[in-house]
Amino acid sequence: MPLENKLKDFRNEKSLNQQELGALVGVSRQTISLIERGDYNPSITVCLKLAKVLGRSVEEIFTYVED
Amino acid sequence: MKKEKKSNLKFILSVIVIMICGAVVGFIASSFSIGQLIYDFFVNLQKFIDRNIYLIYIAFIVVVDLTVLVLYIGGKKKVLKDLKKDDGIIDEKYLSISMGLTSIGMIVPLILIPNFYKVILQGEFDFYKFLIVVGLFFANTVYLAFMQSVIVKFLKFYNPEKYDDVLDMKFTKKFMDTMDERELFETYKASFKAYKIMMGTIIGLIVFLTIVFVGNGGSLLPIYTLGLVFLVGSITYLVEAIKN
Repeated sequence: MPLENKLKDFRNEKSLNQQELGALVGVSRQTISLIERGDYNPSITVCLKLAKVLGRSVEEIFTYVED
Repeated sequence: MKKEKKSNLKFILSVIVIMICGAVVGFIASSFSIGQLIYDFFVNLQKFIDRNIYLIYIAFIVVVDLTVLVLYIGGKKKVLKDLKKDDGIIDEKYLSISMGLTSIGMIVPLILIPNFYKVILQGEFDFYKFLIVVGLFFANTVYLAFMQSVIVKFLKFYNPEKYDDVLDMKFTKKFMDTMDERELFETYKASFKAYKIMMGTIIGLIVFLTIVFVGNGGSLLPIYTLGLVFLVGSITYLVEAIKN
């Protein structure tokens, strides 16, 4: 998958577990886990919600890597 | 343009090759009466089922019901272990299979019921066996509905936003409304795969039953029924695809 992320690092900065972050953003804990592993690319809506909750920009959290 | 011409040529060649293969297979099959062998196989299979219907019915129910319970217990243990980690993927495989089996466990006995009716019509009616069949049918249905409720309630335990009333007639819609984007995506992906396989199976069965009909006669009703299912599936897909 061409999208890398620092979601776990920023989540830990805010002392949130996956369940809590998922509840704030409106997705399941499983989804947060899959995003952090790079196994799922979230929609722009979820990306923006994550950015808002973590106090970061979308580009800081997610990086597009060329194949 | 060149790519299009290449793929058109590939398609035409593929159709010609398939037609030639079909003709060769048909010639070989007719030489060895393979059609008759296949027909005899299904006739013998039907006779086997008729002779052993009680055993097949009871065995199926017992095996499926036990498997649902074992998978639920194993799946729950696995999920609770994964939840303690507070991080990482939750392995819901066993719970999902258990849930899927509950639906299969309810439908298959229903499919087997006409066989018992056949036994009754043939005058081999046994009142006690009849009681067992009916009793098992209802007990199995109640048990599997209960297991569905238990599995969904456990799912809600670690997904509080999920809807959990399985007895609600609108359960499927309300449950899907509580799914997030990834869960919906996975559901639609699985549904499309199932749709493709189902449609392929229906076409295969229509071809097979047509060959059997041409060779041995019988009723056209199964072919028309499958054709209707195919039509409903195709039209539903088309309507949903052009909606937006």
